[in-house]
Amino acid sequence: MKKVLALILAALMILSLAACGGNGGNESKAPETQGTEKENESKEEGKTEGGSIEVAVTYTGDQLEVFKGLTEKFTKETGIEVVIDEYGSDYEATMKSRMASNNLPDVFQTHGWSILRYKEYLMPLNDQPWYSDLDESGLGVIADADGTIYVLMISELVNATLVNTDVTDAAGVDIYAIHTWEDLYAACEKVKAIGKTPIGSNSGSGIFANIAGGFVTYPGEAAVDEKAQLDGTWDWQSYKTTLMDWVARTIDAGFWAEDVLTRNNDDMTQKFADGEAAFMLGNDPGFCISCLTLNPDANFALIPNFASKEGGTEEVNIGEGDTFGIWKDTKNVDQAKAFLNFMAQAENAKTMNDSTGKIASLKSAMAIDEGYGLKMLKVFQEKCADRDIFYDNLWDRKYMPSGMWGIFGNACNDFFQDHSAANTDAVLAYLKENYDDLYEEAHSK
Amino acid sequence: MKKKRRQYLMLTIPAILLLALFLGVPLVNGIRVSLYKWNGYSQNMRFIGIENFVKAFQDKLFFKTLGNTMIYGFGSTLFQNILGLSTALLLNQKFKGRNAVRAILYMPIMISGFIMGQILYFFVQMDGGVFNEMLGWFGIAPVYWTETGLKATIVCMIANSWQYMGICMILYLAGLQGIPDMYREAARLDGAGPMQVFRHVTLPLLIPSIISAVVLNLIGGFKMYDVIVALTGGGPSRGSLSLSYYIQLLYFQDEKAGYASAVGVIMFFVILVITIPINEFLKRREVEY
Repeated sequence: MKKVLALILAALMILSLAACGGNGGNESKAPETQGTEKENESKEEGKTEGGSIEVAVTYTGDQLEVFKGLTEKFTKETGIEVVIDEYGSDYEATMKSRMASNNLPDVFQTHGWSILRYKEYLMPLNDQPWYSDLDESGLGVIADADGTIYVLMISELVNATLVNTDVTDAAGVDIYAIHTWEDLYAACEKVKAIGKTPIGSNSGSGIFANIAGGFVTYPGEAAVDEKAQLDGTWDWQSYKTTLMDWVARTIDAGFWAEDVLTRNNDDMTQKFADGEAAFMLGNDPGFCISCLTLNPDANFALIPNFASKEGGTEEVNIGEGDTFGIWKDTKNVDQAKAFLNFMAQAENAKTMNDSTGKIASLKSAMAIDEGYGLKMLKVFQEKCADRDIFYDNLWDRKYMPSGMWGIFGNACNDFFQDHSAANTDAVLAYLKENYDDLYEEAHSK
Repeated sequence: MKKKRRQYLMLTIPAILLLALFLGVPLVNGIRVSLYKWNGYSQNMRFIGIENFVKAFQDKLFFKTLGNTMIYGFGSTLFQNILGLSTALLLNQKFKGRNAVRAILYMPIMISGFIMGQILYFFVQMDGGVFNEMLGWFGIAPVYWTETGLKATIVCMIANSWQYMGICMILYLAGLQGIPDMYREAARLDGAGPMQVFRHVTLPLLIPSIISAVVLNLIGGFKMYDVIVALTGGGPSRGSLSLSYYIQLLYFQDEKAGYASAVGVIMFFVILVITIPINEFLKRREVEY
């Protein structure tokens, strides 16, 4: 009897271990299956009046609740049910699986990749009524070479340098006098002198990818390798002598947090909100909104990314914010288009943008946008009115092949751990090898 | 007799079909994908033969990750078995509150590995973590627990061992309770001390439990994923990645699905090559009673 009991217990343990030991691939498959069932349901229901669509979104937490509220309003107005796929941090992985099986949701968000990654699965939308409402500033980001767009973009992602002005004021730093990375270095010295962390970012992808344009790509910079980056012949040497050199000097100067290698987003938000750090590099105003939930009295500002030398380019990167595209093979075309029309209405776009902190990209929504993100941008535009600011897509999305984001994160982390000459070369070789590989993959079709 | 064998065979068919569907098909597909250069989502795949396997054997990160996986597998097995057996021996004694202690020690298993990792992150955090706060009470400077890949790997391994130690405990407890008292009694009458009774009577009779615990822990350790995701994110510098996590990153983040599959196939054979001989070795030491 005892042996039987032991066997049963052992079997139970095996089951529980198996349940605990599932890998990410399996985890991401679960919602996929769910999605497929929902999609089949929606396709069948699509034939009935009202119908139903499956919408996959990146939203989580409060933003998801706001989105759910909007979909309920949409259902009330149109009778079309919306089944939301909440993939959270598994969004990209799940969408890649669904693309591989050519089985996508009726409507889905493209999180910066409507052209490079998702285009072949999306329906052209230039004929939609809201097309003329799209602001020029964002059109370049979502249109392909022929001017065709595949998504409704309700907000833009603005990416530049964030400042906790409580800290910089205390340190006596005039943030609008910072024009070059050397100016920032000098400002960091002042911040460090008052016992605060000058740069609150972690050693993730954002450092090596988001600020790179100001060193190795844009007009007037130390290196202008734009052409080579785009045609796959870039040798990366300028990256080493400019960006990596500057980062190495800031590491040596102790401008980063002690736990820079492992601090996560929550840590960064908390420290920046608490006024423990002065600058966040390559980030967007949405980050400040998260900080304000922790410390409503904190004061923040947005300033451009800097030039590598006097006369270089100070830039602000604009990327896809919140976008919605329609799967080209959906059987619920009318319902999906109705949903995009609904999201394009100024008050609906505004509701979502207020929640995400992103800046409106529809003219009608811009007119009524009171979000914190736009406020930050307006202050920045006013303070930097005398400067020639260069606006471009996010650097890695424009100049690097798809798949480099994770590689940049790994390389940056490795570099922060050891920035000796030997390891700098090893990191550079790693970047180049992956760039060559992914470039070849992207252009082999 | 033949008829009975056929009946037995028929009864195994559903299990074989399920295994073929959920293990066989993905395995064959994984091997197929490993022979292609593919980004994981495009409709275009390019056949490149064994290039991905050659690449794996030139990939330093692959070997580092393989090393970490060995630490997770063998380290977790060692820790969990020592802790599990010790607590099982303790809890096999009669004392007040024994059931409560058993339940408490088993509790961590009920939490998902990801949540456990999140909780433990707040303990090992450099800035304001629980352990460093406690060190601060004694005037000791904060320790950067996850500063290097090796440190982070060891932290994850200990976290995993602590969480799943209860499985070993239950297995050993069941094994201990299955050993008839008369064998120990006889040994004691022959003059054996407590250590001798444990070494020459209890331990050999526990071999079936040890086999289950070791194989389960090894496989669980080799597959470690969720604790690492939550605790270190595989960092710093991908230094605490397990093979499972590395495969996931390669496939979904780095867009190297073919290479990820090749690493997956290698991982499958590594686990097979390690667990089968261990299983056989332990089986040979099994004692009938």
